[in-house]
Amino acid sequence: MLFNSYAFIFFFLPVAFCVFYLLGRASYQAAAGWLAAASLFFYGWWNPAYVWLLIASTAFNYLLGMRIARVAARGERAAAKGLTVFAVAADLLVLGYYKYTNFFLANAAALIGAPPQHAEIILPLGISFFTFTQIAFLVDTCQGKVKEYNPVHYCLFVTYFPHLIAGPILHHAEMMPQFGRPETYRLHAENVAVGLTIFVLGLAKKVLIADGVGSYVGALFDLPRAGVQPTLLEAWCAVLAYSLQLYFDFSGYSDMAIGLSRMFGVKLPLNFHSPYKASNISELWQRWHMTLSRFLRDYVFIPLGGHRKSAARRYFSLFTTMLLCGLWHGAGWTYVAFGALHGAYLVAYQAWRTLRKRMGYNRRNASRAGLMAGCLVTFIAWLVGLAFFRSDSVADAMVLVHGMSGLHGCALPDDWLAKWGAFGQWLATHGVAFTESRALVPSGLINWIVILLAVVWLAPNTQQIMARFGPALVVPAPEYRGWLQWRPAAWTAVPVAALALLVIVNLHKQSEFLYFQF
Amino acid sequence: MTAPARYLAVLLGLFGLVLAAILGLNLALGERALGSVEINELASAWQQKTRGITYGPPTTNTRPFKILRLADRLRDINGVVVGASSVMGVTDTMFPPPLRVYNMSVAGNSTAAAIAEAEYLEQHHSDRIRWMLIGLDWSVGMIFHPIRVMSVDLSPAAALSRSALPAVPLLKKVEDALSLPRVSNLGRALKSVAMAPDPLGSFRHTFFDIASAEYRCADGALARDYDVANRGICAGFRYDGSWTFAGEKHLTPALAAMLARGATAPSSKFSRFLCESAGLPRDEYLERLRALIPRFEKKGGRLLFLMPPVVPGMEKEMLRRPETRACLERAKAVLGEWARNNLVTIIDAGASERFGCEVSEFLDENHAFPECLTRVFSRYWRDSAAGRVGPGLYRPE
Repeated sequence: MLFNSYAFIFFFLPVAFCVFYLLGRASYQAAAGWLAAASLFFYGWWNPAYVWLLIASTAFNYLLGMRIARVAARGERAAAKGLTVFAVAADLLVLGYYKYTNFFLANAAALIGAPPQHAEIILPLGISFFTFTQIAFLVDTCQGKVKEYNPVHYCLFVTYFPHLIAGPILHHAEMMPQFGRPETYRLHAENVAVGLTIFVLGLAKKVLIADGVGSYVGALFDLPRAGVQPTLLEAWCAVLAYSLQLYFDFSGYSDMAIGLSRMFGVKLPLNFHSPYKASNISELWQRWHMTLSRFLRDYVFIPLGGHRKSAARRYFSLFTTMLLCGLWHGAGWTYVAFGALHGAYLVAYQAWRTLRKRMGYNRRNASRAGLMAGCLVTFIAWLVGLAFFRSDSVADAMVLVHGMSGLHGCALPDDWLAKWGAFGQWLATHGVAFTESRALVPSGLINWIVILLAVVWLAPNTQQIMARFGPALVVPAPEYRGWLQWRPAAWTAVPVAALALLVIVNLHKQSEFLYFQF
Repeated sequence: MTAPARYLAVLLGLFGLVLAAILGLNLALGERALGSVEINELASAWQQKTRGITYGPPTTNTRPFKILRLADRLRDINGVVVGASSVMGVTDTMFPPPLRVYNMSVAGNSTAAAIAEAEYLEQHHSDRIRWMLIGLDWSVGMIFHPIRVMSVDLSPAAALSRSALPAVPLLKKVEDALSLPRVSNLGRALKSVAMAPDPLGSFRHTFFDIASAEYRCADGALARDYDVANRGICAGFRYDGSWTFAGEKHLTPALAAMLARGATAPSSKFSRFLCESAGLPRDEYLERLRALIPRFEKKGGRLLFLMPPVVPGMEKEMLRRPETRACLERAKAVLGEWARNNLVTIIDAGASERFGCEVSEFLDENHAFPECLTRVFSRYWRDSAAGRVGPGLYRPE
């Protein structure tokens, strides 16, 4: 079920919400159980057959977790570690089967020169998310960090519908205490008001903005496959449009997840925090899909050595972690290239930082201009990565990157020559070339890009607007002190109601969230 | 009441009230906007009586209305046009006497459906129908689509059966009532109600009466609207079955040039449809038509085919891009050879500028107004009378 569907908004959400708080008056366990059952129904709406996979995965990890905890409590560290390795390997095997079998078959066939092989495997929605959530649980259990083993709460922790399909990747330690608190099951108008407002804002980002700008993306990214070499403008428009579609799609989804969860009295960790405002690539990854970055840091980068070993080892760990990050996003060489590129970015950034530290530079003293330059360079590096992330093949991505470098010409669309009148003529006589540009014929994309970049860079984000009411578990500093701060009052309800209505009448063209495929 | 509770009350109250109003009014409109057997019967009977302009909603399924009209018109016609919206502008006046034509084409009609309709007419009405024009539309891929030719029933009983307009589940009706096009339409209806001299009467008329009052169009024709959309603008089918295109905007040269270039973009529907089967028309269509030609001719009938006009310059653009050029040339070569082998003529009006059509005679890339179609047919009949038309593709050089 999609958050941006009539079935979810007018049927699932009201029913799940009302029954949850009604049951919560009588029994917290029943309310938690109801929410877990409703979450399974939410998941099964897409494909009922895969509900069994989710249940089996939850049961397997819970039982193994209990066993690991018992063994670890007896002081048998090696046995606990062995069990953990077995459970994590089993999880990864299942994930690998569903997500990477066809990738493996295709490459193996290409390697031995056999005809392309393809197995009929449907990727279960959210499998990467619920697998990683449970791997974190197993590792924490082995390390003795897990304190609560209530089976209903565990089931809810894994299946909880606001995060089930596209994250955030939850930590056992941050969720179980909330499920165990009686306060969670009592209806608080503030929770509902805050949650509903964040949900509406997220829905608007997805339905009105991401889907709006997204309608231009396909045509531009299809150019290389159709044998057309995109001009400088076309290539930049393609990656900029996609970067904004992905930004508002994921930001919208993250807001909706946080808002929905808050309506049920549960705070989720922040997953998206204005990443395009980052002034370096490391900061960008601390703001983009924050819970995935946290998972990769805690369960991949640190076990590989982290910052404790030599510089060379640190760079190797960073690169490997980002390579896996790319592969996590999808089974394809474009994702591997995306991961490798970001690994290289992070290594280069770390090396640069070390060098500057040695030269006595303190980042806290960075000038505003320096931070803006860093932000711009980081954003451009991100856009180059997205050319790989969105393209159908590495070859197509390279055509696009060549276009971005101006290797396929720098002309403007000839439609603009007529549209700009005297200004167009002036440009033409001053050396600006105009040529036909089929992919930019539908007008409006440039306006979208300019307006949305202004929003992305200049406007506060949802968490900052809602900061007074602690929308998520931890909202990073610095605290936002601008004028656009939400407070519950009759007059603030009017624009939110208008926005909700606007979204509802645009829902008929509902589309999936981009992060569902990962 | 706490501040958050007040906030929620206002938010949910406002949202619920406006949504309920939209839903209620649009469901009231939707009951008629989605059409019914009764509305089709009333609309058809009214047109038969007055020869005025009307149609039975929805615009996406006007076939039941057209079937009822055909049944009434059979006694005084001898020719029929079948096809999709691209030939809906073909009028009776475009044909020389003694041809008296009824245009059966409806929006979204596939080539498979058009062939089935032609086969039905040949089997059941070849005593009266001696002449048929069939649209072969390449621009939106009609001749390439993998849709099987099924049999159709063009009897009035079929049009009056409940299955002619499939029942719509309530959930679908609710979704439809809340969609942006419906909400925009509601906004327009409410605006015209508010601006009417008698708003209350206008409200009742718009939301609860089955049809508008009769009114006169600019050319003096009588019209009556049975749909809740497009009211008062003379949008509908004329007595000869052609669509009026009333209220539609005409292309400007700048927009037409942009659309023609846009059509060749790899992701445009025109390029995709044209090349989805590498420009090869579906074999089944050609085979069914090949079998129909001698059967119909044996009964004294004659078939003519039309590749509908596309906006001037669009085919030229298609021919400039190597990928689309190959597909378009292949499609025309195959159809030309097929027509020569079966001794029939296909009017190739694709490059409409060859017939003297202008961009202002188009609604969009592939919908020509009657002005352009008149040019196509007058040129064809003139050349035909002069013996310059033979089997194969016909296009003026």
